[in-house]
Amino acid sequence: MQMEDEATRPSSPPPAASAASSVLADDDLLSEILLRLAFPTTLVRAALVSSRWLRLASDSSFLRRFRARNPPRLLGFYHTARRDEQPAFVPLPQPPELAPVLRRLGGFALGGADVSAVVFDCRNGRLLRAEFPPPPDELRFGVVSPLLPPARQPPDLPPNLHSQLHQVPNDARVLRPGWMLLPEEEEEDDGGDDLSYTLVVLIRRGRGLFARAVLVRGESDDQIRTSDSIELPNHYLPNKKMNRGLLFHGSLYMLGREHVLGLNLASMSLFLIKLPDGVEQLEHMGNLELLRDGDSGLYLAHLKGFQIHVWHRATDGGGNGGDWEMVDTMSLHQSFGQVARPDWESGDPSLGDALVSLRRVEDNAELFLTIDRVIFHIHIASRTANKVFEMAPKEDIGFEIFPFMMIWPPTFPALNYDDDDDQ
Amino acid sequence: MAAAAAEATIDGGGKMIILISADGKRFEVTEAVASQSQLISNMIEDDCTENGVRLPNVDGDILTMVVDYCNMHAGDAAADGDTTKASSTEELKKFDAELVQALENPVLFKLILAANFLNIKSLLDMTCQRVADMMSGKTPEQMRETFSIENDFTPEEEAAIRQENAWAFDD
Repeated sequence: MQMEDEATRPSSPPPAASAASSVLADDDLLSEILLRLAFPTTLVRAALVSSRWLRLASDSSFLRRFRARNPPRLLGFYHTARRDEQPAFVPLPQPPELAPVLRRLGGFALGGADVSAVVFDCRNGRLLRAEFPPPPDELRFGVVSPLLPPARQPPDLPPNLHSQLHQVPNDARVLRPGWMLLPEEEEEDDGGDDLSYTLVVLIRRGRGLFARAVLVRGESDDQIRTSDSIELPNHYLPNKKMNRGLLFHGSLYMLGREHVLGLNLASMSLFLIKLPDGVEQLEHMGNLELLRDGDSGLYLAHLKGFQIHVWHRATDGGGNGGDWEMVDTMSLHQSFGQVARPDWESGDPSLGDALVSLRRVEDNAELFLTIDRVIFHIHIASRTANKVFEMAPKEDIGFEIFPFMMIWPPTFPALNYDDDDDQ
Repeated sequence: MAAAAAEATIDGGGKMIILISADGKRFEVTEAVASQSQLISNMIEDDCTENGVRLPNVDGDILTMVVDYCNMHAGDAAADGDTTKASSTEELKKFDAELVQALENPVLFKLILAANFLNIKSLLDMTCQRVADMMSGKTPEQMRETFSIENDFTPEEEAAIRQENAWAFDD
């Protein structure tokens, strides 16, 4: 792919065959073309064309731009319909370019014949799961990445750290499910080579609450870090379970009944943020969900009657920030209309009804809404609510869904190509 | 089309500019039309379009397409839309779709070079998108074949990349 010598063709058009190679030999132009590929599968295939294409496709600022144009897609979700079944993956309809991805997911199984498995969390194509093999094998607790080859699987939490993390005094209890925290997007500038993750558990002891966190990264595990205990307001939390947390600018935010509990991971300090007036998490949970949309602060989706109210609050990574402000309202009449239940006519379908719940889809302003056995995929910004799944009757007991996103970025092994002219 | 462009009557007294292709074809366009090219826009600002603008990198066939494109899009470039007859959004979409759909190697790539040289962002965007679309669903081998590119990976390197990102491949 030598460059054309500009001087030799002053006023005659270049020969036909060279137009393509002139374009493709220009790093800027080739980058612009690669940027416009619609799917990461196509990008990875393009990276295999030649070492020059690979160099451009694996450039970190290129990957950031690519991601901005093509945010990772929601591929489907894992669900745990019944206690006696393994978590199963349900794909959502995808374009043909993503067929190989779905095939791989279809071929991946959690647990096994006599190994039961539980999913706790799901993020960026990775699952936090526990597998329970028959004795004498030990519990496996940690992150798996169904789309990555065996050699690239993140490490499990070593059994000794697992028991330390979960060991509590008799009068205390660990709140489920615990959280898997992957690096935030702004920290993922190294081409996605980092297989580390942070595990966080909350421990309740009387009116007090404290957090434990451990960074898991294979051979060099960090020590378990423990926060100071924070005194809880009355009626703060359920005693056993917590909603899923949201990581935002280095802090983990978790929904309580009338407060959001925050954990600053750098300082391991806990703080409380009061929910907007009149907004309260219901006993069975699911009427509230925390969201983020880029860097613009913390959002709270509140399912109330046939509407979703969206609240916004600026945040400083600690307990300070502005007031909550309602910024959006989306009507769900149509969705609820498809799952009509006679007892909803009187008003609020979420009140006292355990089968209506919201579920965040990673860091996008999108949600799953479960109404009885029907799951809707909701984009708040575009006001769309599409029915994506209907559970079989009787499957909805203890039903929990874990949105599964396309893994990003691709991992490109470092090759010895010449990158002198790389900026 | 080129002739039509050259004879177009202009409302609002816009100045005309002559563009000269590599093979000597001449195109008369308004400043508003030509200014969609950042290159020519800069030249207009610098007052050096008096004797026509020679474009030694762009041959007549390609410049015809570029001028057509710019004539169609002059409306949306001039945001007020008073001086040039703005094409409707629908029309533009149809025009762009047809233009891009018809493009194949080598004209597509010549148009990219021209859009890049003339610095016409929207045309560059559209034509690069077309190349990207051509790659959709192709294997690396098919991409190499389509664009006549030599594979310079060792088999080990190629296997390593495939293995890391096995989700992108059918096998």
